[in-house]
Order: sequence, then C-alpha cells, then structure tokens
Amino acid sequence: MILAPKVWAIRLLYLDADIRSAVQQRIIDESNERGWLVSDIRIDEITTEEVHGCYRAHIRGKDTETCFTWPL
Amino acid sequence: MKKWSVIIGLQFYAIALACIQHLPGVTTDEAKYLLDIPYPHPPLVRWMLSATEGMPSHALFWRIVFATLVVQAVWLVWDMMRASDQKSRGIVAGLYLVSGGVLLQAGSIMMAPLTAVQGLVFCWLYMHQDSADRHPVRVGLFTLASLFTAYQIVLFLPIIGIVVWRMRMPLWQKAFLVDVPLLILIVYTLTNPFVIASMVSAGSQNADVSLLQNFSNTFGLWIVGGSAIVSVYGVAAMIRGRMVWHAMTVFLIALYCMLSYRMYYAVLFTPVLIAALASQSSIIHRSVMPLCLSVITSIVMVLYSPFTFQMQQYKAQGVLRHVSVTDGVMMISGSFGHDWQYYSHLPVVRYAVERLDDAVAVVCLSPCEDFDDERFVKKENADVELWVRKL
Repeated sequence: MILAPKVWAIRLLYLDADIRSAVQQRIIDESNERGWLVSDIRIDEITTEEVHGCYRAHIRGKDTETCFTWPL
Repeated sequence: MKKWSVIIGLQFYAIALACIQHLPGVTTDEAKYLLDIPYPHPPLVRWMLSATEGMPSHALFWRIVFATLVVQAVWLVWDMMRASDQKSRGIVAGLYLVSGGVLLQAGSIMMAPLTAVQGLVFCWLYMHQDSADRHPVRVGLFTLASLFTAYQIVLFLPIIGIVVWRMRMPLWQKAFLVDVPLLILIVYTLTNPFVIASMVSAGSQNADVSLLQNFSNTFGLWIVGGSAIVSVYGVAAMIRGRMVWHAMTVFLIALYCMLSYRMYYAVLFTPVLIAALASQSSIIHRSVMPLCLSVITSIVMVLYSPFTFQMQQYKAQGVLRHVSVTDGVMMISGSFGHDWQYYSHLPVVRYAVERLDDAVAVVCLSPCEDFDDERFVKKENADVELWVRKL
C-alpha cells in the first residue's frame, strides 16, 4: 500500500520506451555536469515533460539532499 | 558449562575473522551497504547499517555482528544432526567452521554471508518440519526479512517452497506465505529503477566470457564454498539421500554464478552443501580425515585464493586522514569506489575544472586536467595526489 503510489508515479519509465530513454539520457547528462554519482540519485516522479527526484550525497554522517525537477 | 565454553570459543573465532577482514579497511561494496546507497539490494539490512553510522568503530562493530551470525550458525548444523552421535556432529560442525565460505567471508559486511545464514535456517527448517508447522507466522516473516535482505535468497526457493508446501495448513495460506513476500519485493523493486538497471548490468556482465570460463569460475566458487571437501561430500550426500530440493538449489546458485560471477558468492554454496552432509553424515564414517583435509585445503585457500581477505591496500582511509576541512565538497578525478564516500566527511563529486570553486579538496586518482594549483596546496605525504584548499 505504501509502495504502490511510488510505482504509479514512475510508471511511464516502464510503459514508454521513449520516456525511459529520455530519462536515462537526462540523468547521465545532469550527473556528468554536476559531478554527481548516479547511485546517489533517486527518482520520485516522471511525467511526459519532467522528471522529479532527489540527489543525496551519501557520506558517513548527515547526508545532504538536493531535490530537482529536470525537463525531458 | 561445556556448551558455554564452546559458545565463547566460537565467539573468539568470529571476532578474529572480523578483525582480519577489518585490517585492509572498508571495500567499495561494503561501503555501499554501510552508507545505505540504494542499490542493488532491498533496504532492510543496509538501513540498519546506515542508522548506526554515527557510532565509533561502526564498520568493525558490524563485521563482528555478521561474523557472529555466520559462526554461531554452526549450532543449526549441530541441531540438524540430533540423531547422530557426538563425534559425527563435531566433525560436520567443524567442517562448516573451516569451510571457505565461513573462513573467507564471515567478517565481511556483505549480504551474501547473511543470505547464506538465512539459507541455512531454511535448510534447518527442512529437516525439522515440526518447527515450521508450529510457527507459520514466523516462517512468513523470516521469508519476508530474507527477501528484503538480498535478492539472492530466491535461489533457495526450492527449499523454502518445499518447507512451506509441507506445512499443515490450507493451500491458500501456503501460497500467502511465499507469494505475498515475493509480491512486496517485486513492488519495492519497481519503485527503484536503479536496482533493475544494476540487475540488467550484472546479468549481462558475463556475456563476453566463454562458456568454459564461466564453468571454471563457478566450479571455483563451489570448491571454495565447501573447501573442496564439503563441496564433494555435500554433492555425494545429495545423490545418496536423493535430496532433490537441495540439488535444485545448488543448480540455481551455480546458474546464477554463471550469469553474474562474483567471488563472494562462494558462501551461498556452503549452507546447502553442509545441510546435505549433515542429513547424510554416515557418509564420512565418523572419520576425522575429512576435517583434517578440509583444514589443509582452507589453509591453502587462505594463502592462495585471489580474494583471500582482500589484502590489497585500500587507499581511501589513509588519504582522507589528511583532509581536515569540514565545509565544501571533495572532488575525485578518475575511477573511485564508495569507500571514498565512507571515509570522507565531505560530499564527494567527480572532478571537473569548471566546478573547482566548490572544492576544498581534490584527489587525482587519474590526472586532474587543467588543475589550477594556485588556490590549493599539495599534501606531499599522501599516498595519492591530494590537494587541499589554502586557508
């Protein structure tokens, strides 16, 4: 019950190959530009126009989190 | 009194294994779990590891916990052989303790040793079905917890499935016990696309490896997992006892290792092989020779195995001791693992000269192109090229 809305929010990733490829490319481009590690990125929601998510800098101690909205 | 002495002795053994694993430092895979980086496994254990990351000797503490679970699990092997004499029980328990899986992996902070312990619990339930019948809810919760520890527990599904199938309850309840935890895991997996991406990547990584090499690698894992002696006796016991479910589990583990070879998967073979041997312990004729041979093969493995205690020097811990600034980010040029994140108190990003304004420390594992060294001072005594911003 807790997990189902999360799956629904990113359903386009599984249902639409074009969106999946656009999201993948956007994540690679943005993480290269910012120097982020892809493993530190979380995707929360995907629409036909945008991808919403957060970047969490994992370190030992308090992690900083930056949320983002990127156009597709 | 004697039992307590054995427990304490085993605990010393577990602590020794944990300390040996701790010597070279935290590896990239261990750091991934310790920091709760959300791939490739489900969150249950890595969340626990991360929740305690503020404690001193964090990694060593968890090494000891993991090693304790793996070593003290020998009591399950002991209990599997209730009908056997003390000598046979002692030999098989000894074979478990000196097996490559336990010796080489008990103190590592990886999910594979935990999955092996969980697999051993299911093998124990297989032999003591009455325990499963008495505690169906516990079996269901343990299945759920095992699935949320690591995906590899699905390799033990033939044994889990038969344990649940033989339980005295309506069919729909049996289906519920296995299917609901699996369904929850599938839904969780869909919430985390990076898990799926890493699975696809791991599944295709052996695509370029020849079939013969794949066989050879998997054969090596099977040998290491049982220190050769248990590997052979375990399979012989399965054939002798017609243990179809154990054989299917070994087959699934081998198939998985061929698709996605990792040296630390050797420990997955250990519980099934030892459980088969425990159920057919007469195969060793109360002889201590297999135990002696197993000790010898284990010593050889410790000395020559390519992944023995991963003795290569991990640089991150040593290098990051030189960085004392507390604000800003650390940039690293070149390929680096999660161990750099674990030992750093600063967020870690990839090096790029245009982002240098944000950096207070720069590590050049590969050449830092166009690096402006006027604002930074080089730490001459660091093992790698390390620059720290001038005050």
